[in-house]
Amino acid sequence: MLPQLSLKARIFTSFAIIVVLLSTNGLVSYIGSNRFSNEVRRIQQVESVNASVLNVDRDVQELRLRVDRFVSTGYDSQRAEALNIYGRLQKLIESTKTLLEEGEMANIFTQIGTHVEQYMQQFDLVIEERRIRRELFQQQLPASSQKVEELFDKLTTASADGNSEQTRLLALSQAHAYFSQAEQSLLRYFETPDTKHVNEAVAHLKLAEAKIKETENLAAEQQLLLDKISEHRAIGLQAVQSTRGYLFFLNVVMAGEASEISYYSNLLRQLAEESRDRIGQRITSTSDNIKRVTGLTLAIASILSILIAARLAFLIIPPITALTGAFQKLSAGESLGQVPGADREDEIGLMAQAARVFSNQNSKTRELLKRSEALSEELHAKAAQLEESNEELDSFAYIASHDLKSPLRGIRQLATWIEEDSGKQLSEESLQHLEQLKARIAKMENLLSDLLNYSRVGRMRPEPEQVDLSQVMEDIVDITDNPSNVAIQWADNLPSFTTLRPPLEQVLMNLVGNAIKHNNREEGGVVEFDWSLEGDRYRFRVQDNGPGIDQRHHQRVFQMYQRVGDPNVEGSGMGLAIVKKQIELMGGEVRLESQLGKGSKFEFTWPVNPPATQEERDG
Amino acid sequence: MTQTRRTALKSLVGAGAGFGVAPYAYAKQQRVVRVLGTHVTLQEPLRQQAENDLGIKLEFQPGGSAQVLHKASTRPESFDLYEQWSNSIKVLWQAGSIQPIETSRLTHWDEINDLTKTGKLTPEAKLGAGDAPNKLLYVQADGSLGSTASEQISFLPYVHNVDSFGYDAAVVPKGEAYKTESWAWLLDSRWAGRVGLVNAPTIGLFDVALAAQSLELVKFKDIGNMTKREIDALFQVLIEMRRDGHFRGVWSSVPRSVELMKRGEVVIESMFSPGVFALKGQGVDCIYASPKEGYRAWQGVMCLSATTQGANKDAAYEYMNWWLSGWPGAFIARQGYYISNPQRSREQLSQEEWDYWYDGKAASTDLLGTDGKVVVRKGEVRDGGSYTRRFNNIAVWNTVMDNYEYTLSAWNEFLSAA
Repeated sequence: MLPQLSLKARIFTSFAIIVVLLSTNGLVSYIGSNRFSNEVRRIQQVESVNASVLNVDRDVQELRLRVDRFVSTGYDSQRAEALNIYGRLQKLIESTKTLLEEGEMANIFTQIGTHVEQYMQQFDLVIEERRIRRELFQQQLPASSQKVEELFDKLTTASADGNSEQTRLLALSQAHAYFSQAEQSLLRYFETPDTKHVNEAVAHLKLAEAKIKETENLAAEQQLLLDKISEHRAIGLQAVQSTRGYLFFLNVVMAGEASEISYYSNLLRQLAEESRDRIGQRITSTSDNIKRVTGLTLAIASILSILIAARLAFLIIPPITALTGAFQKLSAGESLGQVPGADREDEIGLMAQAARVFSNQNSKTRELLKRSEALSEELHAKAAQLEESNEELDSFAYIASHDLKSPLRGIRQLATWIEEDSGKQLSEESLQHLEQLKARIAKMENLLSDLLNYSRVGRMRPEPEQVDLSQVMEDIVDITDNPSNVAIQWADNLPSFTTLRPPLEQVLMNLVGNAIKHNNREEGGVVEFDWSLEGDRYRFRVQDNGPGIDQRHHQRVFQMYQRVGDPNVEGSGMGLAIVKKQIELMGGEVRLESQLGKGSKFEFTWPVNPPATQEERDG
Repeated sequence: MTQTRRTALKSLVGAGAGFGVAPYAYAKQQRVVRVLGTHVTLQEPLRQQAENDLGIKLEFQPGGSAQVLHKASTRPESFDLYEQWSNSIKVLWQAGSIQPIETSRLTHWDEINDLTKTGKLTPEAKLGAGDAPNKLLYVQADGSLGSTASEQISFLPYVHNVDSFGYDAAVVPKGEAYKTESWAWLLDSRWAGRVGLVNAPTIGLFDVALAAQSLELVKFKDIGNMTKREIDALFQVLIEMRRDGHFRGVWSSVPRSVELMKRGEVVIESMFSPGVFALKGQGVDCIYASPKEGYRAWQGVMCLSATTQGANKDAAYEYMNWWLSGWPGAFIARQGYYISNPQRSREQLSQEEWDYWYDGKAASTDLLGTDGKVVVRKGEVRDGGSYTRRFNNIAVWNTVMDNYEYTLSAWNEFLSAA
């Protein structure tokens, strides 16, 4: 079994078949047009031959006319014209023969040429016969007749007396009369050729001779007359025979040649006509064949095109449609039990294999998604637990810090009372202890206070208000302990906007406070505060030229109770944790850029618009 | 007749000088005999043979029938002997161009058969119409020519034959000699457009006249001497048929008649014997018809010029006698012609040749023509049968009728009709 062809191969093959059919059609048209051209050329040749035939006919007719006129008139001009026409005919026939290929028509032209030549040869004989006849009839015969007449006269005048003389004269007279009758008969013959006139003439001459023989006594003259009459008869009969001769050449031989010429020229015309008809039929037939063949090839090409297109469409569209549906399902994340066209070996088969890969991938993805969803749910649960735990922790921290402060205050009070009451009784050491106790208590209170503040973050829901940051910075400078006179600088155009004041103030207070507090410069310490607007949020920067923070502590500084830097600097380690918590609660973010010895820069973002109020959120 | 036979015979002659030697020896004298005639008898082998046998010099002056007749009638001094057909005798005799021939000087005169002397080869033979040779043979007391025997004759009778029409048996159904074959076939409409005639009123006219008479289209009181009215009636029929395209045309030479049938342009036409044999030789099944109405016959004549005298006249007599001496008769027999004293020629022919050419029997072997080629295949029978049977059926002799001139113009009208 043959391997299944690829779609590309099938499409190319199909197009090749159509192209071959169309080329065949073109070829047929080309051959047909060539045939047309050939037939047209042949028709032109036939027309040319026809024209020649007509010219030959015309010349032959004219030739016969000139010959007839010459025969009837004897004019040399007619003969010359006949010869002139003959020369023209010969050239015409020869030139026409060169037009024709070897074949029937060329043979016929040869026949015509031959017969025309023979016709003219006979014409030469006619000319000669006519000359002889004219000479006999117009010269010799009258001269002979005159001699006979003279002899008759001589014999008559030389008559003698007596009865015998009268008899002789009578006989001579009768002989003369017979001779005259013979002359008349001959003349009649030359006017109207008929053998009976000749017979009459001959008979009368015989009678004349008989009568002359009846005479006596003049034997010498008698014999001379008889000889002259005999001579006269011979000349007359020669003239008769010449007449017969040229009549024969003219009426039989030349007419026969002319009839053959006429036959062949008719045949030529007929052949030319048939040839024209045949060519016409061939043209019609060629035209019909071209129409038929081109129509057929076009029809076949059309049908094949349709069949091929249908076949290709059947081969391509349904599987492509099915594959499209399959890919739509695959794009929707579905997986397929069966991929259409997977059993094919062509491009669609390859696409089906690809779809199978996608389907398998989808199955895996879905499984992963399920697992992800499960993990997500688990994560949510954990987050909820964590949040709950945080809340509990916050609550605990709040409660603890809040609730512990009260007993701590009691302890501090008790310590104060102890000092007040028994301070003087107490040893130095106890007093020192008492001082330590108080210091510890104060520290404890600070710790609790910070813890309380931290836990309060997010717990308080203040309403937004207009906050002028310049004012805020001035307030901070006013309330912040700044023993090293660290310079606090801020831009003149600090924004004033509506936001939650407490958290922002707390953030700035902590950051600026930390910067002052940790600045280790005896003098020249500087804290700078500036800002920029980025879309719907501000970016604030608090930068100092303090000792800087080691890179490894950058994450830890934001954690609770984590302190870095100089341990002598007072602090609970909660400031930056509170900053981070406040900022993130507002949807912003905070980051630190710092290196040891090169100062620190805290950047945080803050929404331009205040968060929705509780009412807005509820409503 | 015409120049027609000449070219055909030209092709048939050639190597004829090997047929034996005449049994008679003649005194060798270097005299000249000028012979005016046609190619039928003025053949080179004959000339050479005669010169060898007689020791005389022969000057042949061949030409067309009309041409030589005219020359003979107007210039008798230009020839010593004139060879042509009996239908030229009237003209020549009337013109005084020929002189009587003394039968006493003809060695084999007594052997001349009755065909010429009486017009009938056998008593039961038909007497053909027209100028039968016997009517022109004898010089009468009054100087005219007639059938009453005398010791002077106007011509030496020698070559003769009967003619009819030939047809291509591949097209025209083969007929039965003397029974169904008829001159009427020439006018049969089945062969319209393919009928040919010899272009000579003294010959072809009789062919169509016999045809028209056979079909009872025209009646002739004497077909050998038609009246003008009869001629008019005949040509009315012929011209009408020609206008209807019945006739392919006319031929003026034997080769032309052969060519016409060979090319298929005609399937039936007036023919001469050499043409028929030429066609047979070329594979055309041409049959020389034996018409039930009878043949058209012709008699070859040899005439002595009125001006020939003395030694030339003696030589001319020797040449005339030589023609009847046997060898020439045998020579022309192989071309299908007959001689007036056939028995003498028989000695020069093989039995097979005699049986075929004269007796009308089937050829017992292949027979050669004068050119050495086979002209008759073994088993073939001569169309029309034996000499006797053929000449017993003469309808008409080639004739120059009294209305000869009238037939010329009528013939022209016929040829010009289209």
